[in-house]
Amino acid sequence: MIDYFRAVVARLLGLFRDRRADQELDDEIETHMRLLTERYLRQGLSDAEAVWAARRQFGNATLLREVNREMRGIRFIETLFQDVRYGLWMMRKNPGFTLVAALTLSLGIGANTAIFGVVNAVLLRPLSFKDPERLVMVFDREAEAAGGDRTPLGVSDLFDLREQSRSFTGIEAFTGSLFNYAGGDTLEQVVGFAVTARLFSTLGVQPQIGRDFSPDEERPGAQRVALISDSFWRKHFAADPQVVGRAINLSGASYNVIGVMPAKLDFPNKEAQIWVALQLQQPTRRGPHFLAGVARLKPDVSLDQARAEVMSSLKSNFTNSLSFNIVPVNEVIVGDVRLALLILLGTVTLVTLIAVVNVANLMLAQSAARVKEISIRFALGAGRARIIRQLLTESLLLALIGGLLGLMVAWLSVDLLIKTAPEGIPRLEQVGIDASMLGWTALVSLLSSLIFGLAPAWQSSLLSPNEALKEASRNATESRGKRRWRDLLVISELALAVMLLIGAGLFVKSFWRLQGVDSGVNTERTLTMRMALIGQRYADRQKIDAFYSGLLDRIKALPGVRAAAVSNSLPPDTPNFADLITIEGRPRTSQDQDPTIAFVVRVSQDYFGMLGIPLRRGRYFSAYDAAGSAPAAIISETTARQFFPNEDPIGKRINIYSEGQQVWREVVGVIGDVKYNGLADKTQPACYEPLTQAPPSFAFLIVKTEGPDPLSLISAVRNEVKSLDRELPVTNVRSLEEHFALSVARPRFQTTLVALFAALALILASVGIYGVISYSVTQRTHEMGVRIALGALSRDVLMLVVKRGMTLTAIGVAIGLIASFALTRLMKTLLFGVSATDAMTFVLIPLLLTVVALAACLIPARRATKVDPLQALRHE
Amino acid sequence: MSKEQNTDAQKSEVLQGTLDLMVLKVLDALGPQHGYGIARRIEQVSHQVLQLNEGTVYTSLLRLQQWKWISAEWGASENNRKAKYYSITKSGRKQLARETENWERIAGVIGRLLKLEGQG
Repeated sequence: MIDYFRAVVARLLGLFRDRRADQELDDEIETHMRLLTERYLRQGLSDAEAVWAARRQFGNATLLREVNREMRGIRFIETLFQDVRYGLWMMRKNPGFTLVAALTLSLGIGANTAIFGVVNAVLLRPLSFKDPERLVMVFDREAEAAGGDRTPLGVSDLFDLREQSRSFTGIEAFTGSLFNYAGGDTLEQVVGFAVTARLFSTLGVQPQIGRDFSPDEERPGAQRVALISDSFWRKHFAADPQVVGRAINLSGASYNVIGVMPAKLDFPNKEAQIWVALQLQQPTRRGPHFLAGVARLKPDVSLDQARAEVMSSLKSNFTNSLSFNIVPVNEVIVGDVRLALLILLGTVTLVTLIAVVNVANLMLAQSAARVKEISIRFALGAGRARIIRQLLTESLLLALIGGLLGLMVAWLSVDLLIKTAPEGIPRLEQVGIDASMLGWTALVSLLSSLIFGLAPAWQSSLLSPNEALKEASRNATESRGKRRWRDLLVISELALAVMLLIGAGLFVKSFWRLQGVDSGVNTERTLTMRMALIGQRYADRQKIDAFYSGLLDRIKALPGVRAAAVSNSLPPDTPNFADLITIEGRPRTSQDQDPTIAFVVRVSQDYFGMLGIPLRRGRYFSAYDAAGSAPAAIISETTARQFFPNEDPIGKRINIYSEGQQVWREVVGVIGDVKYNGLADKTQPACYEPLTQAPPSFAFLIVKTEGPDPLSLISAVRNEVKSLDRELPVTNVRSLEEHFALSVARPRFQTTLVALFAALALILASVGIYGVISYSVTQRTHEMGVRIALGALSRDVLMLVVKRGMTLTAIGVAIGLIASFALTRLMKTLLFGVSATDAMTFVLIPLLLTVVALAACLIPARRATKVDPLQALRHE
Repeated sequence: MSKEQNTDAQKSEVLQGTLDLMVLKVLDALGPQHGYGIARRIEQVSHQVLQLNEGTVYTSLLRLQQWKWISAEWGASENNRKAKYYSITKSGRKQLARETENWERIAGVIGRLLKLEGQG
């Protein structure tokens, strides 16, 4: 056995020692022949006779050399080298074909690889936590609530889970926060998170410098400590390794830095810069719900077991129906985008298929021109397998070139994708060319080469050498077999194009519908910015209130400002929080009642008027609703409809739990609905409180300008803010229109990409059908000439050509339609306001494609009619 | 004439297979030899009954080299000319022993078979 391997290795090595071995054998043969000759000379033969006898005795030296050479190498690889050299030569001889084919392939393979790279980085790569499959996020389950199945936890929920649940090794939580960091000259608003002490250890992440939080830092009143991110460390501490123990000023309070987190950590999102310990008080009621729960399953507990436990077996002091939902962390992070990305991958694969089919067509056309060459090879004794191998090698070469170019295309596209991608696609920045992407490119190239190479190779190998060498065959029409292949390829191209176009059409229509959704506000000429009034300076409500009223007064006095307001929420997708609303006279008796949860929006008095929110009943807020006045509230139409179905809400009292106090507010007005949950979602109930009676720490400043460009007032407004508080940073400065555009950035991006692919597919498919028809016209020139000579009108010739093209189109489109019917249901959840089998799209697209195909046929058809019969008849 | 050609073909078929064995044996018995020397010895031993294309010895030698049953070295021949000398290796000797045993076993069986026929 080992001898066998040795023999194989010797053969492999033999490939490389070719020339020297040849030389050595020649020497040996020469010596041997000389000795034989001398022997015969000694026996008395003449010179010539001796040489002849020696040769006879030795045998055929040339054959010997051949046999030995063959033995030394591995036949297969040698012929492979031969084929490759030949293939390269052929490509140089047909530069046009090679260029078009390589380009087409590079686009098809490159786009595919780019999207795969994204899918790989976002969906496939495991998260950077320890054993990420055992990590889950824990949510409250409140049916119908503003968060649905994924309502954040309240503090009591966290404590209940920790005390009672048996399924987890650790139950932790975090909540987002903004910090105003003041360091040296810098004044910056940083995104941070308050986390429970053992959150990072549960995740399996350790600081690269320093230590994690300790459990007593979770207690209220403990010393303030913070962990900083790697980028924060580099930016503000120049990566000083002695950073532990230094104090930083966050929102006016001093925190001790206890460690630096590693660079690749993007938890909970990539903007996180600071983590502080979450200090939890004993809860006196269930809400508010503001904590994101994270837990690690015990090793012997399955996801289903844990889910069953938390869904119904836990008890609470504050409610009878305590129910939680757990979702694997991976699902939470990428679940949103998974479907969209997979659909994108499917779409781009269709484009790749179309590109490959185009190249296959090109190859079929080219193989027709090589009929003579191949038949000569047959005549010289090549076997069918050999010919097929030769042609497949050429296809592989082409695919290799296409693949390499494709990698370049992919690299550029990925760059572009990352730059233009919308927010919210997690881990997108981790996309890069790596081993799996290269592997994917290789795989796609290989499959492509098989697809576009096999058909022509098979076809060519069926040639009978006799037929092909005959002179007469030169002007014969395409062999029927070849023609069938080309027809089949074009039909599949058209079907694929239809599928892509329908998909794109649905996306486009869905996006258009989304953009047309009435958000409830007027977004023109409005500037927005965000600020966080936190820290010592704003420790009590009066100070916050004073700031806002002072700010609003000053801004309203600016030239060019029509109105200004402050709110804790910003349409269409940035609510602040939701809470349970209690209605006077309607105590919550049964826990199964529809909970009356609504968004709580705190606004200054000009908010409604400024944004064009209509008044339905009662009145807007006014100066009357000041800090000391009777507590007031305004509810939205939907709130009125859902919470007060058959009565007039005006005058009724509701309780929105504010800052730990039970405040009964009288409903003074009902206004139009405003979307706070995103344009695509159903409108949720909203309750409004006057800013002066409940000033929020986190707020948006909204300014309506006289002039058309709201951005022109940015510096003026900023100055006013600075004049009131030098150290208050202001962020997310943009026009309301821009804010709205950002909220639909994801569907827009998706739609753009799919539309791009569809356009590409349309072009490729049209080129494909044009090529086929054009080629067949060229083949049939002789026949056309005969027909015209025999009296056919040019119209008849035209019809003939067009009929052929349209028949192919009809079949292709029909197949595409059927496939689309079957497949578009996969996209259903991504569509807004459009059914997956939208009639308009399913009718218009095939029409469009038919028209384009018709145009592609007419050009060569017209050429056919211009054929001069005399020339054609002479045409070989 | 065709009959002669047939026998020639048959001869060379048999020989290719057993030539390797003969070369091994020669090298084992005589020590390091060059190609010409091996051919002479085989001619001698077979009493010139087996007429072969001598060049095939080199094919044999290449094969034996690949299986690592013999090794080769360039050295000086009898009249101080450069020549490639082959010698048998340890695994070559093992192979020789195996093959020899094989042959003897087959020869024994055939011998007994032939004796049987004679008696019938």
